[in-house]
Amino acid sequence: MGDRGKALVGLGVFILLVTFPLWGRLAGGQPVPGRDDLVYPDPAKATDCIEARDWMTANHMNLLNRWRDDLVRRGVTEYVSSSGKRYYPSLTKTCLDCHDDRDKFCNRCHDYAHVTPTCWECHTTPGGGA
Amino acid sequence: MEKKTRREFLKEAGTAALGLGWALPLAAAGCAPRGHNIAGSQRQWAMVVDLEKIQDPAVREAAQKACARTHNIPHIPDPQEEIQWIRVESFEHVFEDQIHGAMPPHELERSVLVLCNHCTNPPCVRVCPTQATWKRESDGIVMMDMHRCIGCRYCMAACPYGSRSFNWRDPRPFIETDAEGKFLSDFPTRTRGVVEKCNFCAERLRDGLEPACVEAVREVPGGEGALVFGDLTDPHSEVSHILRETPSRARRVTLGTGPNVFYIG
Repeated sequence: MGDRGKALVGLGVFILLVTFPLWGRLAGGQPVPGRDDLVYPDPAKATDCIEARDWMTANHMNLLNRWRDDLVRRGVTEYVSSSGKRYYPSLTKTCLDCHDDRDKFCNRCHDYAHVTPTCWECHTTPGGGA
Repeated sequence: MEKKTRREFLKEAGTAALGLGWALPLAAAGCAPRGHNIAGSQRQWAMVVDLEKIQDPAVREAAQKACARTHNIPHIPDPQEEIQWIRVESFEHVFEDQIHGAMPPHELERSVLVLCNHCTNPPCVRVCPTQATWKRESDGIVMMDMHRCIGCRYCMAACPYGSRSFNWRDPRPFIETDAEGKFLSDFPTRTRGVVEKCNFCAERLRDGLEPACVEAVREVPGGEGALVFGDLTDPHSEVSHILRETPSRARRVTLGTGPNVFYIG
């Protein structure tokens, strides 16, 4: 029974290691990946997105789908946001006009979320960038 | 008058109803407008090509180049895989149903610019299983929605003019770029597996501009009026005026597709 002390120490180390994901975040204060490292547009260019930021984070894909159908199929050339501002419904001309760093905004979060939207197979960045 | 039994009355009424049932669809078909019916669209964009003026290769090249640059059209050398929105064909091939043995060779060998006819009754639209191509009611353009195209190529089989091209491969490596490797236009490139064709520059019309080819030929000396674009439903438009005043032809009109690209000269 002389190993009791060693066993307890081992158990303690084991519990510490297993619970690392729980306290590691608190202790280290690491940034939430995929969010804080995104490069947002220059505040001089725009401070507000088309809709509220949280809503856009969750629903931008639905908004883009709606814009696609509006512009391509229904010929609607204007989107009125909930704040009453008017926008031309275009990924390249409207979204990317402010979000001018696709790699550090769109792609960075898409990579984190492990989604592979096919937008960029056809759509370019403003100025014809692939 | 002889009084009918209930049974006789019902028999006669039934026969009469049957007769009407046959006659009504026939009468409706007889009254329906035939041929070039542009009543379906509020407007109908149309183009008039002046065959005399496009005999100058510079005029044809200007039109093709402007089209390619405006729409990021790839240049794929293999004719099996090439993408063409506005092509050059010989008169003999374009108007194969209108030539006869007495036509001189120089007539048959004339170069003709061909593009989507934006038909009044487009067969491509009828066959598309996903409605990726449709006839726009506001202005009669036969539109394409690349998001919906599944690449089945029914439309290519249905089009009697060969106006459609299929992307057998990723077109991007074949698209002209500038010194920095950027495309010349923000128009979305296409991707492997979709069909594409001339859209009458719908995106330019939206901004109040003329189609790129029409604008480009005007810049070439002698190209003024080689391509004229306008609304066929407007009797005062230039295309309506030309078609009233000048003998014209269109491609394979007997098929009933109602092509809206016309040729004069």
